[in-house]
Amino acid sequence: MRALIVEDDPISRRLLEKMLAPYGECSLVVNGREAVETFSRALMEKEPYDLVCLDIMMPEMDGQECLKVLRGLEREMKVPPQQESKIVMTTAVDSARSILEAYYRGGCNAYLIKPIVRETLVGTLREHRLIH
Amino acid sequence: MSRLPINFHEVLERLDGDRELLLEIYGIFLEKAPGMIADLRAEATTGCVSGQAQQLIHDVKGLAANIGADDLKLLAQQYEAAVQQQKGLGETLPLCELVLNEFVRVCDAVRAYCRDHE
Repeated sequence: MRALIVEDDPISRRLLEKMLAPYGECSLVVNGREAVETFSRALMEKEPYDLVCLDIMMPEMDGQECLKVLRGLEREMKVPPQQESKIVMTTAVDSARSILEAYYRGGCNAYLIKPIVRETLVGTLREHRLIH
Repeated sequence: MSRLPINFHEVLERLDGDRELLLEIYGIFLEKAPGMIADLRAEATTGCVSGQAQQLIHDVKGLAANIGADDLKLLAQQYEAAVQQQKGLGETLPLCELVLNEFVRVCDAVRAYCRDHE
């Protein structure tokens, strides 16, 4: 599994990296702008990410905006829906509005509330068949 | 709020007992905390209305959640809500002071924990 972790907080970044390490290779970026560049390059190199963990509230480009751009890139590159990356929003914002926006307008697959617990993350990976 | 500012047991359990990782994230916390406290103090008098300031409060909340500082998380949450609801300085300043005091308590507790376990 190839995972892209998009997180401005170094502690969350490190924790996610550590939790995902047993399941594959992780790339780390610190904001939405870097995520778009990295995700786009991976698509062009035909090595797309299976999973993107995307923080909602970040400086420069936030997670909601980034999510829409990433899904737009997949449409542009004509990625079939079943091959789209699984995008999991990670957030300390447990407000219904931001989560609903991510699901229905942005096209995310799941969300996790911080602090992220290993079992919940692994359960989400299983649910989306990223691991068995 | 006289109980311990950090629930060390809960965090260690969440990290599957990986004390090395716990000490690593506390190290990151201790590097970041002084800058965040200074920025928070500087922003407090303006009511934290800028986007940057609101990001800062949000970061404090996220950081607190990650390291098991439940009271700090709760206070940051209350402060964030007051700022978002555009309450006046009369309401936001005392809340900011509570956040700052708790933040300092958390730093002291983390420092002591690292000293005892390294």
